[in-house]
Amino acid sequence: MADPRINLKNPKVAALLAFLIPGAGHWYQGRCFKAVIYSVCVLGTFCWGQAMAEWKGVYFRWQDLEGRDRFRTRDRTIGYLSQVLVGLPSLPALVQWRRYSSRDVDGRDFSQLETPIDAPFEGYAKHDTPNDSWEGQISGHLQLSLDDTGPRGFGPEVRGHFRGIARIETPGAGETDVAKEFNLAGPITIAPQVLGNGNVTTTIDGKSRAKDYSSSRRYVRSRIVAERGEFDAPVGEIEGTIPRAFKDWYQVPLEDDAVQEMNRRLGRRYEIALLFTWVAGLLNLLAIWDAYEGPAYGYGDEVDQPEGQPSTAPAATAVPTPVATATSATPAPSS
Amino acid sequence: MLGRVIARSSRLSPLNSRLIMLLAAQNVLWYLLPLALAISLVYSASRFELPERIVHRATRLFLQIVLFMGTIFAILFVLSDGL
Repeated sequence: MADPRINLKNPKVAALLAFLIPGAGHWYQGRCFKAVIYSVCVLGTFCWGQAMAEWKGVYFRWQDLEGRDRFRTRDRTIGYLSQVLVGLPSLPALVQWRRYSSRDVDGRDFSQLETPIDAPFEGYAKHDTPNDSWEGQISGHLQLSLDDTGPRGFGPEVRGHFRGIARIETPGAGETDVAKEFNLAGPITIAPQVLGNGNVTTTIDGKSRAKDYSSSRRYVRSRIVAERGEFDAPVGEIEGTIPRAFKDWYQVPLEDDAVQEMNRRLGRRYEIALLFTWVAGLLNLLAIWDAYEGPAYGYGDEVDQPEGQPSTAPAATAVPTPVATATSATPAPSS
Repeated sequence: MLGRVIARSSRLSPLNSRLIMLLAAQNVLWYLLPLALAISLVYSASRFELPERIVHRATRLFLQIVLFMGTIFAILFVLSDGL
């Protein structure tokens, strides 16, 4: 039972507000000091943890993959059950889980073009024809779309176009920028639109390097084609990335290799970051309960009693109990 | 072993060099201080209503947590001597 001096207004509404936005329930009740404490501490801890984990520490995944005989914690993000208590800042993970899992059970398919692409492209290209052979970095505009009928009735095919600048190294002249434009067709490799963190390592440039991961870039690889009679002949390849929108990676479940990459790169900082987000959720549970029921121990001006005895009201307003009165009225024993 | 190497190169005692190395390598532990502060404040705020009481109790709780963690750290540090 809350202290009568505390106006909880509608406790259920306050608890709901406290869940949705830490501190909002107390603000609604007019308990501004506590609202600031809850808001700063809970949201601060949550956001700090998210920032330490590069905003990839909160996501929801709950699935049983067939054919796996062993339960893996990555398949069920139990930690999210704590993170979700922070409310609105962690709720997008549920929406992202639905978007992510709507495609297939593993959540990744690198051969499907889900929607037409019209985006800036950065990457590498190799072009090899008898009269035009070059390779180098390219940047420009990429368009890809799915042709359902196929240009010559051979079924659906991805076709596209690139227009931009190629930086080509020529012997003696160094690197020169050359305007290039070519058509693309045939099988493509493209990272899914909704993906938490994916491998974007360029491999066709022949350089051996460590795998590179990114959430804000989306991997694309496609063939360059040239018309040869009735058919398109492959004459090269492009590989690179296009931007991925914030809404397509934030709080999206991470792939196994992405989690391993995060752990490898961030080390213990990643674990501490997750701890921060978990603790933030658990702390908000205390705030929600406080908004609903009031403070657990009382108003705070009660007089402390020795261990084992309940606190009493403040001295100024305390009403003497019969026992206390009787005790005080008893004359001291004479020695 | 790394502690001994540092000690040899910097002429510090092995214990001191190991302490320096631990503080540098374990710097993620410093993140626990603001976490402890947040926990103390929120926990105390959920117990009482008066701001002075909340702040007073949060300060005490924060110091208790830090003291407890520091004690555990010191015990483990001493026990790990020679490993």
